[in-house]
Amino acid sequence: MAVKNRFGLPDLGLGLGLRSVHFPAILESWPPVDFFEILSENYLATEGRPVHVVEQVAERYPVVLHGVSMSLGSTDPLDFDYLRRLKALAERVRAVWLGDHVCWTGVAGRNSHDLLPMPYDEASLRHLVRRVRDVQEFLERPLVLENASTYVTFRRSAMPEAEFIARLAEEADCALLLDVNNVYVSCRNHGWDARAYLDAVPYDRVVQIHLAGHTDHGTHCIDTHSRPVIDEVWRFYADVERRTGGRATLLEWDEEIPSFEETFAELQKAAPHKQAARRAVA
Amino acid sequence: MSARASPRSSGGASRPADAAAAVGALERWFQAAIMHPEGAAGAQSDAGVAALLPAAARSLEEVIEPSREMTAAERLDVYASSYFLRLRDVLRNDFPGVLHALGDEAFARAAREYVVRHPSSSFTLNELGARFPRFLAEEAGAPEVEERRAFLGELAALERAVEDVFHERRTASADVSRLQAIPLERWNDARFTCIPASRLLAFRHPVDRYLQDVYDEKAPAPPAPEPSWVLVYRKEWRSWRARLVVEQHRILEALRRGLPLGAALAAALDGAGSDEERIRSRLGEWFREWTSEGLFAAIEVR
Repeated sequence: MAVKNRFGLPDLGLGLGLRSVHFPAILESWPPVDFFEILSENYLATEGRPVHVVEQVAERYPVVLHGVSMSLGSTDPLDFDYLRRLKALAERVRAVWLGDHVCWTGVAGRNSHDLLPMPYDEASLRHLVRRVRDVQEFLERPLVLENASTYVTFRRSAMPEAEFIARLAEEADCALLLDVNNVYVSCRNHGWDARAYLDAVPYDRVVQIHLAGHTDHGTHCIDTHSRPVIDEVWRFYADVERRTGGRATLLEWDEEIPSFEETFAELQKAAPHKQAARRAVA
Repeated sequence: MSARASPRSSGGASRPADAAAAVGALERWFQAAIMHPEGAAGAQSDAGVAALLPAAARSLEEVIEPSREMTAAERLDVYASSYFLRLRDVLRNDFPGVLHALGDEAFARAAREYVVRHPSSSFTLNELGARFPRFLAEEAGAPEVEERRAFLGELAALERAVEDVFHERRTASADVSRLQAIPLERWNDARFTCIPASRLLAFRHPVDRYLQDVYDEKAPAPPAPEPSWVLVYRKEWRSWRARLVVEQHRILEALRRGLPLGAALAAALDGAGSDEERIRSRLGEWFREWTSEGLFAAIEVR
């Protein structure tokens, strides 16, 4: 039995991350992509061409915002200048939803521009729940938070990642973005059981899925978004689509970005899984 | 994953302040370790970083678990390595001219030193290179920079201006009809306000010519000193660069200071001597071009 999302947010179909190298192809042909996801920070501190393009995109497609600098896990004060800009951008592009990651990016005023890991313990949970609630109150909408790829585990962690995120979502009443490639990468890096991870996800809070490729270094995998999606991750995706009846699905490609046509073709590999999930629900 | 908690763990903190303190201690240590100039290995032997270890841990192994294939230090180094590589790549992208001038290795060293001295404090990577020109001109310690400090600083300033202009706020430009509407007898009183998306630059080296040669893949050699003047502005969402003669630079500089055209011309022509007539004969052409390029947000006669 497929699990509906409790937020009533739509399955937007199959979308792509909007990247500047694809601007010409998109502006020329307005391709049949169901929605675009934009990296919030690329549009918060500019009045140049990126904003001009995204405004045109937002006139034609549903847009969701995905950020990397909210730093929810940081112990620095929340950056309300950033949040004000984010709120204004969301209104400007009529974002269907907006989100970020379960992580922190810096402390003591610094930004590593990386998605840094947290120990999965009660202290982190209490800290994150409070911050997520504060941000949601300010933004006046639920956040959609993603499981990040991680490369270390902390000895003081006291629960599995999936349980930590499920409790965070429940206690902060936020939505989730399940990145199935990140599930693969983190499980490979830490020797976790991916099946158990996927079983523990609260699918009633999942409103979006991310797909991406990664780089396998043998000893560990890095979430580079520089390759096609591997078969195992496609299997995870099919499983999640079956469990949920279909969620908005987004392909990320951020390094060694191929042509728009190749990226779009990779996204279309998700179509049979989505159709199967929708048929099952119907 | 492991589900055990350290006896020294403060992970059970339930009050918000306790929770934040427990999380914050770990974050300060982790950040110091991954931003260490010598990577995770350097951080391990740095007493300053060790002093930040959370909850009385004595080593990183007491904080981070190893995996089957990697030690705790190797795992931490995934973050440390990618930190510098990511920010170096941002700088490479923003400063292709400086990259060419220094070459890959020297640029990487300079970028690392820069990031150590000036870590990002902004939510946007657009700001990362803001202090790079001054860093190259005044601070960088690499010998490759030391030799050509003034040239590299100027080249970086030009590249930064291109980036700044690209992201500047939008304003409408006055069109040529505004220029044509000024009665001849009122020209001296006309005031020209430049669009925010413009920068006026003066250099001791021909950095614009050098940068264009880099863009054209002509592999230019570092140039000898030679004064140059450049206008960087945005038109139709692109950054453009226009080389100026010194009188053009003086006129625009005076206009940007708020002087009316008559006073701006006087400042520009001061000392021009026999060139004055030649310069005056070109003024109409210059202003038509600048206006048609959208350089002026307002043209007013008060």
